Amino acid sequence: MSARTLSPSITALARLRGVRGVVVTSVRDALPIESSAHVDVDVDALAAFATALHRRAHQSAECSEAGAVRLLSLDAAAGRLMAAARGELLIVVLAGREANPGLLRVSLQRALEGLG
Amino acid sequence: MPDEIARLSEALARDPAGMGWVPLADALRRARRLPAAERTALRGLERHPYHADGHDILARIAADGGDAGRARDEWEMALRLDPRHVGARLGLGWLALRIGDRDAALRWWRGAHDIAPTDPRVMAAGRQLHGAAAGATAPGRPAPPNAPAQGGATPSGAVDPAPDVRAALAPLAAAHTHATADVPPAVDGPRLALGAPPSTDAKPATPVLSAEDAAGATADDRPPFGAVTRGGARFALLVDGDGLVLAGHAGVASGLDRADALAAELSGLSGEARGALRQLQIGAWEHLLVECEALTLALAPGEGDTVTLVATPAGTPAGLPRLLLDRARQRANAWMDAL
Repeated sequence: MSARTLSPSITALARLRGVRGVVVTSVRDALPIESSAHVDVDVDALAAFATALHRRAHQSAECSEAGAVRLLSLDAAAGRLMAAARGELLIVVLAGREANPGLLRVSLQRALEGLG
Repeated sequence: MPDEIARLSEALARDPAGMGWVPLADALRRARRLPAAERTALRGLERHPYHADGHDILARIAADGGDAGRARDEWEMALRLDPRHVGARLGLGWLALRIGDRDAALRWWRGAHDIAPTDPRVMAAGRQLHGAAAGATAPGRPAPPNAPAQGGATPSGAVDPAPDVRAALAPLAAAHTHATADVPPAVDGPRLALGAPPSTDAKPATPVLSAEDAAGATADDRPPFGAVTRGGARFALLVDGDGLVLAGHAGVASGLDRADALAAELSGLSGEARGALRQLQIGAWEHLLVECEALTLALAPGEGDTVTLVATPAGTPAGLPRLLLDRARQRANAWMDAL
């Protein structure tokens, strides 16, 4: 696990069971701002793909008059990806299937509040 | 019965946002006014999509109308919303018995018994089930679990709309008939009021009922997603790999149907999801939930390159969009197989 200076809520998020990586990135340029991730996680790729997905989700939300995107959760056969934005910042979490999605969701929302 | 319907309808007129639609729909059902009962239940579920008793009533209406598949959907939904719902358990047991699956019927009954062992409906169903299993098939007029009480004074056979369905379900159905005949309505409480005898001479007569009739059912019943929208989804959509709409609609807040535009966007979104997961090496995608200010969009891949979308209002319990999505996906797959 590599880590730079992280806000406490981000650190708490990174310590949840099953979490493999947490990245705070900029929605605008998709570059990582801070991160805590297992060594096998490509933080740059995680930030880039999560940001692209968030942008697409935002377009779909606009099209369906759903309002601003608050949280995005992608479940896959071998893991989960969650992302939530606040202003220009996007918090991205990559986790294994063993991670509790409900706990991840709440913790991500708290971490988002902690960014302010 | 007409008096009861009039009273319930007036009560609903006084408090249209209240829960008076549940007993009114049930009273209409027991009066064999199934279309009006269905409209009342659907209108109520539009306001209260997570009301388990409302889905239970809708299931009973469907069962009375001979639509076992829809009854199953509604009872399953009631059970998802309230895993301890005894009526839904008995209803699903009744459906199991309908197809000859006595083991499943017993399992449903045991589940109901664990929750409410002294519930007269459960006790009567148990007596009949066990009696039938021992070779003592209950005699008498078959009826589903939601069957109106026959009561000693009510002539049987006069208002049975689905004898073929009921004939397959004699034991458990008779149990319910027995239960409702034996037990005064008050035992069932305000929730179901199954005890009252049926009547065929109810008059269509109240302001609310007339309004309901005039308005008709506004829930989207178009296949394959009718049950999904009744279950609380704002809209549902099936999109092919090229971003073209296969089924469903996307009526957005402004009143427009944005299905075509949204389908095109979803195609790009699902492609983005696939790409991200490939790069991150976490396998094929199963669900994507996008929680927004006004709606939650839930997507899942289906057969071929299709994508199913279910949109639920903001504030929907966090787990429900995925349940509705699973249901929508199953229905979409079945619908495509049937084409």
